[in-house]
Amino acid sequence: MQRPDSRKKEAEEKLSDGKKAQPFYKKVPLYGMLVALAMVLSYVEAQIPVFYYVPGMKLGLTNLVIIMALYRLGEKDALLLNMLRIVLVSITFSNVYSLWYSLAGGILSFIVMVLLKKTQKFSVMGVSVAGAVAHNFGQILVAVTVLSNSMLLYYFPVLLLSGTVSGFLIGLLGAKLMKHINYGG
Amino acid sequence: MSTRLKKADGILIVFILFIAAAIFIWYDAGREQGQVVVVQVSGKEMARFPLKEDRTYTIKGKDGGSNYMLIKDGKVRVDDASCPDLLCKKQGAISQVGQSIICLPNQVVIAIQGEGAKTDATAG
Repeated sequence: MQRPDSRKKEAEEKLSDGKKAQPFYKKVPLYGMLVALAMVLSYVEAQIPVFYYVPGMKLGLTNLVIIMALYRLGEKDALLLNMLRIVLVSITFSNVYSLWYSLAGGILSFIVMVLLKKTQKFSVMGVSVAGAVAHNFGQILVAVTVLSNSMLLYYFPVLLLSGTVSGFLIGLLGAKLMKHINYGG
Repeated sequence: MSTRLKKADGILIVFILFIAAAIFIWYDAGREQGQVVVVQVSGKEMARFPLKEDRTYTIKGKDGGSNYMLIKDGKVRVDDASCPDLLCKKQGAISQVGQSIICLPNQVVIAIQGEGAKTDATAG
């Protein structure tokens, strides 16, 4: 039972090593497309009004790109993509104040996902759930600081529930997609 | 990439749900009918009104934004605002201690307080 598992892990490691060795000119178009995809998903998500009844509640479609990058392209490159899409989405679709919310959520979520992934004890779904919840937590911390009002924490349990559900679904979708897509090849 | 759940995933999800439930219960225990509406902009208190008296009030938020607040039948809600998403309006009416309506773009917080809070009916 252990052998095919470890062999798979080896193959995955080789794959990501291979990706890191990719020349710069091959990375640019791929990463450009991934950032564009993340931006489009942000925009699509903003068109779904039902997720806006509680501030901070969202589907997290963009995290699909980030989590796949994390597993397929490695941490450094996923971080680069994450920062690029946060800054670009804030400039393009919203205003500067939302940049801080996105940055806090995005960075905290990313750190948590990298740490959980490194333990190798969690599936993609688990990593995604933790990322979603961390994202909500980061945003609510910024909101509490900006508005100096701790009553905002009132929303946190609702966000915990919505983050768990949406994070799980995004993780599942990501895992299924990664079975079929071998990008960068 | 496996789509199967691992043991640690289950523990994580149960842990998150447990925390959510704990906070819910904690909030629910402290719930009571509010007496005073407090309006804050950027963390500073702008006005407070008794929840019993029906009235309207236009909150001047940050960067020239505004929220049109309505107190009626012991409940407060935002009826209209300058922000594009109108989240504050969608949050509906509130009346319980600890509840709040929040407008992030205008940095406006409308919160409900209990009996102990003082009322200044002349504000605004």
